[in-house]
Amino acid sequence: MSPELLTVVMFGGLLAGLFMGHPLPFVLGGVAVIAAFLGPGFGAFGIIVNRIYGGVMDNYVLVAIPLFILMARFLNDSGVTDRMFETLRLALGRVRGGLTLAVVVVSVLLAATTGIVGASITVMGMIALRPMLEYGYQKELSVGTVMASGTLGILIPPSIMLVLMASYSPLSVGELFAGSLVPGLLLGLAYAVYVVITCLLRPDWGPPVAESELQDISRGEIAGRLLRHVLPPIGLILGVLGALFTGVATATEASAIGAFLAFVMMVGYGQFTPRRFMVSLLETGKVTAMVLWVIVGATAFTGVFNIGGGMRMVQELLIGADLSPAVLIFVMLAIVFLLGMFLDWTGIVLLSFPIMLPVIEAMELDPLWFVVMMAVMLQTSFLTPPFGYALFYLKGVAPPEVGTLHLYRGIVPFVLIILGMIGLMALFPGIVTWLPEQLFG
Amino acid sequence: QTQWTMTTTWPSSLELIELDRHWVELANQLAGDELQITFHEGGSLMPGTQVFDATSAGDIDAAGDWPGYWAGRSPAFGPLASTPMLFNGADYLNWIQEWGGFEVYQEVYGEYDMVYLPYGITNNESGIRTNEPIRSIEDFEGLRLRVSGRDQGRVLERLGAQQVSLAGGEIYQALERGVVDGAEFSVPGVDYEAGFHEVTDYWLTPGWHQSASVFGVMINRNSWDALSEETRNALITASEATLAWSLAWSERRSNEGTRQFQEAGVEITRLPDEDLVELQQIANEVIVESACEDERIARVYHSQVSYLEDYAAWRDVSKPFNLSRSYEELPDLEAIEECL
Amino acid sequence: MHTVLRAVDGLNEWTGRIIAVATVFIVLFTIYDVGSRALFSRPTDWAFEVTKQLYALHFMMLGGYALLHRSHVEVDVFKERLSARGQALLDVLGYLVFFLPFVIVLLAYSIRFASRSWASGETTYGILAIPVYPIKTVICIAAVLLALQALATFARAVTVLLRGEERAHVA
Ligand code: NA
Ligand code: NA
Repeated sequence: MSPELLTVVMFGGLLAGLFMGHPLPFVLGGVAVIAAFLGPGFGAFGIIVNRIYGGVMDNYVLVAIPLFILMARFLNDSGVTDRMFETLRLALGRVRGGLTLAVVVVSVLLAATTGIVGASITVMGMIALRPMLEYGYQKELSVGTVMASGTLGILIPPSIMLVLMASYSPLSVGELFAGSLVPGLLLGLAYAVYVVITCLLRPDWGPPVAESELQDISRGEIAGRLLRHVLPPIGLILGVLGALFTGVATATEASAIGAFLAFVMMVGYGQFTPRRFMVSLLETGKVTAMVLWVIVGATAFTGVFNIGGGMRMVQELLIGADLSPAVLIFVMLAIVFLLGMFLDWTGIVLLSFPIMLPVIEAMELDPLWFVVMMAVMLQTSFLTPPFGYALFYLKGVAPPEVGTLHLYRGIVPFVLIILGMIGLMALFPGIVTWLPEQLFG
Repeated sequence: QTQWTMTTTWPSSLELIELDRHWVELANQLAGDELQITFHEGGSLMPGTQVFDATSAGDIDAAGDWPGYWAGRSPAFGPLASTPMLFNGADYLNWIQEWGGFEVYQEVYGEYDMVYLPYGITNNESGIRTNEPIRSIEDFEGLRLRVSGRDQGRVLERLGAQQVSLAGGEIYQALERGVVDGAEFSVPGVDYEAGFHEVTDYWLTPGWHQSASVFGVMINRNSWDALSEETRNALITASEATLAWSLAWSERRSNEGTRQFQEAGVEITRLPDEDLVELQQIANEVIVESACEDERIARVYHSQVSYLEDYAAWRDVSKPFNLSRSYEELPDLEAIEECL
Repeated sequence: MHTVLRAVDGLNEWTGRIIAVATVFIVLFTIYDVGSRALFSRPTDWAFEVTKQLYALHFMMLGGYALLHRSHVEVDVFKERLSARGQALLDVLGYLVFFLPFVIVLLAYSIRFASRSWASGETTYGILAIPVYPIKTVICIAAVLLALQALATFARAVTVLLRGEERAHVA
């Protein structure tokens, strides 16, 4: 089978399986096996197992993934998220669009305590969306903010996506965390600015919380709650990132420290019960298996695609087109954007890294800069239909008056902000490289 | 025409891949009528750690390697790859081509249904890179060092240092952050490319831990047996030519690398001669000790030390123009023999 | 038939509950390792390999558990618009076309893979020789757990397809 035909068969099969609603890991793995049978032959079957063991199981960097997920679950299951939102709702209550602003701030904080996107969006959808709609917030603005901010979890460190990206690139987890911190925070800031400006221009889209409700609670009381409910998670963030950036601990070690501290917070808030603890472990198990089995399927897929010559063909296509570096980067990021309409980030990272990173290397461009731009671009993969996981997560918990079209319209401004941020990063690579240079020289 | 799929343990970012590329190019030239080898850089078909298993199973036809990576399968792979304080590059060349070494490789790899063609020798590795200078073997006390190889770890243990296992890609950062006190990786040219001059100030020589190294290609037995005698000979000829070239190539690169480290301001320290004598004694004991733990490693060391004893007649006569070095003392061959 | 399906659900449920605890040990071992490095500058020489193997055990063995709880990434925007029978038909096709070939190859080739490791008594390559064959065998076990759970899902889908019943959902 020619590489061209192989490419058509594999990506066609992938799309077909996705539209059928079959679990993604098995679509990827199944397409790999069928394509290997039609093309490269039985040797590829053995290589699939070799890749699963050597690339996914025997991989110390990826040990951080279950631990960061566990850290997020401990925080979520001990009600930290709920209390953070309630506190910020009151603190920002007098501001126009204050509730949406609270959603952005809480989401950024959650993102910095790992931020499992599914968990963040479902929780914010459950606790924040209803009050927003009750106060008469515009539906599109409300759902857009919840989805876009919730997606920051995968970008702002610590992030399991960045751990995976580090494991499959020449970059270290520390470099990627440092490189993504500024763009992630800037993106959060851009969302906040957008929300505030929109609500200034259209006051009816984001009315402030009723005075009557705010009069019951003093400023001192709000300050006290900020100390109790917002400061400890910030302390946890600083502890984990500090341990990593100062070199006291590796990413995996920092994730274990983070999970342990989150457990201590669960106990400290009086939320520990054996049952709740077990639920955290089980939910961690489900999300870990979900993420890593996609990687298992994707490593089978890319392995066969590579052996069959598809990888080489696409690379030669990209390099041979004789494009300028700027155009080439534009093309590759556009491909990531398009893939993001259909695949989740795990699949995209595994499919695109082996093709694109050698191209970046061949053009002698900075891989850190490119990978972080790609990480920002992958924010859109959650938001863009037809397969946007943020859309699914929120649809699952949103009140019935929120329709699919509200969701689709809601994400448009945020996707534009993301694309604008990537443009800025392309023009000013310092947004990415400044912090890593300060930390690692 | 037969098609072979071949890969290697080395990613394209590591210069050692040149050894594999050199052989593939020659082999395709010499045997091109019957055999076409398609070479994939390391890590692209499967992680470098998996190429042994994939070749053994016949999932791919061949893979370039450094035998020491397979010590988890059998400790015999250790001395097939390098030795602490024993063989230099000339010894490996002599032993492989004229003192029965080639057959030892076939015996060990044959257990796993593979044929082995050694095609790369790099002479002495750089040594240990640290941020505090090491000037004598007393300075090893208490250090945490990334050094590869089991017997090397045992020597370190006797010096009071701790061996740390790190993959090649993790060394730079581990040095930068003080996770280890020092590390060895490869020859100077390769070390410089890896950027160790950016994270260490001192370089201890000589590279006693790995006095020379061997690289080669593992070939699945069925793939090998399917070739004509003529093609097999062409592959062997290609490996012998690559073997000779690799010595000169790696020495030139080591020389360039050393100059680059000097220009980068790295201070080169050297163990005093009397310390090297003591280190030789420790290494000799460790070699006997590990030979007596496992018969498979005993057979390799026995063949190697026998060669050194035999070669002593001419080697010591031709001093100082001898190709190998002169040994004050060798590992106890009789003790190794008793463990066979 | 019903009992068999329940037994499969139970097997993966209990596997999940037991294996999920592995993360606790990964955290404890890692913290012990960091602690003994920071306090006594003597890190363990086992934590690295042991935590890595526990991590592999954890996510691999939970593949079937995640399938039981429908936690694997899947997109049902299109599927959910179909009738119960239409959905069942897509499930049946999906498991036959994609899942079946994958799990057969995973099982058959992981058995070969693990048995080569058993045959040579393979250990880790560093100075501390920890056996590797048990963790390689985990791939075979994970494939079996996954296949059993898929078979249960498949059987339920076939029942719906034949009898037109409401989609039998497992929680
Ligand atoms: Na995060
Ligand atoms: Na999408």
